[in-house]
Amino acid sequence: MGIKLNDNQIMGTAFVVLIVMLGAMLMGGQTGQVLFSYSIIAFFGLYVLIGTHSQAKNKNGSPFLKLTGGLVLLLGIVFAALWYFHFQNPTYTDPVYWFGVPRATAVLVYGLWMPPAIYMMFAYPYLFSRYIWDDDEAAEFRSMERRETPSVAGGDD
Amino acid sequence: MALDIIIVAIAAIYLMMVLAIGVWGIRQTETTADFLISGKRFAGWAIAFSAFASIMSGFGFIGGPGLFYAGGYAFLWIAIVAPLAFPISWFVLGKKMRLLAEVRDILTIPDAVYARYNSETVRVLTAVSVLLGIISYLAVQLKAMGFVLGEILGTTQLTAVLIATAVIAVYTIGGGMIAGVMTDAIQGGVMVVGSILVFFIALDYGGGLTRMSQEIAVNDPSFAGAFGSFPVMLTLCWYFLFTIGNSGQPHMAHKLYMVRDVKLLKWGAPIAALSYFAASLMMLGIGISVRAGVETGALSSLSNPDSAAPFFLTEFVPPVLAGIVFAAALGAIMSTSDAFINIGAANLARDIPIGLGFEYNSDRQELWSHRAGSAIIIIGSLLIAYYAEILVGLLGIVGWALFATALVPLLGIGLNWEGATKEGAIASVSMGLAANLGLAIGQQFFNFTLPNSIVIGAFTLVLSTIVLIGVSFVTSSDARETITSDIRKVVSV
Repeated sequence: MGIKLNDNQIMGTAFVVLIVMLGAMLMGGQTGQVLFSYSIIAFFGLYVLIGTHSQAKNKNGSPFLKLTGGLVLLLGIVFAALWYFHFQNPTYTDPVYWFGVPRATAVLVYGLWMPPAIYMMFAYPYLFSRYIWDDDEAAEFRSMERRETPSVAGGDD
Repeated sequence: MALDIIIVAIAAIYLMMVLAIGVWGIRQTETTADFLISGKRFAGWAIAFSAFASIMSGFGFIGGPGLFYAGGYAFLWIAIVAPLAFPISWFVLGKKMRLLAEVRDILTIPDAVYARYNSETVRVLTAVSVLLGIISYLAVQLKAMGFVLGEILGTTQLTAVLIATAVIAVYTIGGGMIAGVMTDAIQGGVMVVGSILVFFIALDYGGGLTRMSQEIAVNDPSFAGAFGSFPVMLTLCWYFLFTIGNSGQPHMAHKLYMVRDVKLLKWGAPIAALSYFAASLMMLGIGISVRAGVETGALSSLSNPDSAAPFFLTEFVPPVLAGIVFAAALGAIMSTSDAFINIGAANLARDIPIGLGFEYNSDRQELWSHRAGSAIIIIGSLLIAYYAEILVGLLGIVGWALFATALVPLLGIGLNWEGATKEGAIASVSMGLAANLGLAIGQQFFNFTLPNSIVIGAFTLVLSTIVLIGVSFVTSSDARETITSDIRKVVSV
C-alpha cells in the first residue's frame, strides 16, 4: 500500500490543524481544552508522518501509516478516558482511587506516561532495518561527494 | 543542611572522576570536529544516554520534586513527555541530522540550517535565537549547581558554583564534546540508578502511593488530580511544547551528528526514553512523599519548594545513596551545562562570525577560538546569573521556546519537506524570536499574560510553525529547484 497523501497535502493538513490548535488555545474553557488536546494528538501524528513520509514513499507506506494511526488512536482513547473521569469529578472531592491515585490521575500516570512512549520507542528499532535505513542507502551516501564547509561554500544572500 | 562526610566524599570523588575524563578528553581533542561533534566517534547507546542526560537538567532532579510540592500531579505533564518525545525526535530528525553530517562538513545546528536553506540570514537568526536560549539556560543551571553543591559542602552558593564551574571549565574548554559525551554517559548512569532506588525509598517512607495521594488531597483535593492545582490549559501547553519541542532542542539534536554510523541510531530511541523515565521516578517519589508529610504535619513546610529533594535526601536516605543521588543531581546539571557551553561557544566562534563573512585560516585557529568561546560563555553566564538576574528571569520565561520555535519548523519540518523555502525560514525564525522576546518582556515588565493561562512558548511554537508552512506555500514557486542536490537527497531519503 502506498502513501496516498503527498508532502504538500500533509503540510496543508498540518497547517489547518495548527490553526485549529491556536483557536482552541484562545477559546479556552472546557471545549477549548478538549479541542486543544485533540489538535495536539493530530499534530503529533502529522509530525511523525512528516518525518517518515519520504521513507514511506521510497519503501512502503503501510508501516508508517499504521504507526501514525496507532499513535493517534492510542492517545485519542487515553485522552477520552482522561476527560471522562476528569469532568465527572473536576474538583477531585472524595474521588474513586485506581492503583493509588484518583481515576483521572491514574489515566495520566498509567495510560499517558508510558504506553504511547513504549509503542513509539520500540517501533523505531522494529522498523529501522527494513524501512528506515538499509545497506543500499548507506552505500549510496558513502559514494556521494562530500561538500566543503559552509564557510567556504558561501550562501546566496 | 548539616555537613555529612560520606556525602561530601562521594561528591568529591565524582567531581575528581569528571575532571579525569576532562584531562583524557583534552588529549583526544585535536580538531574542531573533535571539539564540537566528538569527531563522530561514539556508539548509539552513548549518544542516546548523552541526549537523555542533556535533556534531564537540574530542573528534573531539583525542580521536579519542587514543582510537585507546589502544584501536585500537574508536574507530570512535564515529566511524562520525554519518553514519547525522544522516539518522535528520532523518527523526525535522527537519520536526517546524521546524514547531513555525512554529506556536508557540518558541526553546529546553525550549520545544518545554513545547509538546508543556503542562507546566511537564516544561519545568523538561528544562532542568535539559540544563543539567547543558552544564556538563560546556562545561567539557571549554574545557579542550580551552586544550590546543590552548596547544600552538599555547606559552603555559600557562590563558592560552590565557582568550584563546580572550574571542573566544568576544564572538561568543556579542554575536552569539548569528547569529554562531554563521556561524562554525560556516566552521569546518565548515575541518575538512572540513583533515581530508581530513591523512588522506592520514598514510596516506603510515605506508606505507599494510595496513602500519600489521599494525604496530599486533605487540604486541597485538586493536588491529587490529573492537572494538580495548575490551570488545565497550562498543563496541556506543557505537554505540547515539551513533546514537539524536544526535536528543537540544540543539545539533543546536536548529539545526532555524533554517532559513528547511521545504523547505530537504531536503539537510541528506547535507550534515551527508558533512561529518562527511570530518572523521572525520583521526582514523583520525593515530590509526593514530602508533600504528604507536610500535609499530615509530620514535616514542617518548606520555605523553598526546590528544597524538597535536598531535604528528603539528607533526612531519609542512607548517606551513601544520598551521596550518589546528589552526584546524580550534579551530573544532571553538568551534563546540560556542558552541552550548552559547547553550543554557545560554537555560536560565538563559528555560527555568527561565519554568518557575517569571517573565515578562519586554519582548523587549529578555529579550535582555539572555540576554546576561547567556551571560556567566554562560562564567564559571561556566571556574571549574568549573579549580576543580571532580570535578564535570566526574562529569557527564562521562554528559554525552551527560543530553541523550539526556531528549530522545530526549520529542521523538524524543513529537513522533511522539500517545499520549505528560505523566505519561509526567515519569516518563521524572525517571528519566533520577536514573539518570544516581545511576550516575555510584556510578562516581565507589564504583567501581560496570554488568555486562558496559555504558555508563551506553546503559543509561539504554533505561530512559528504556521508561518513557515504558510510563507513557504506562498513562495514555493522555485523551492524544489533551488535546493542543492545533496540536501535534496537527505530530505528525500
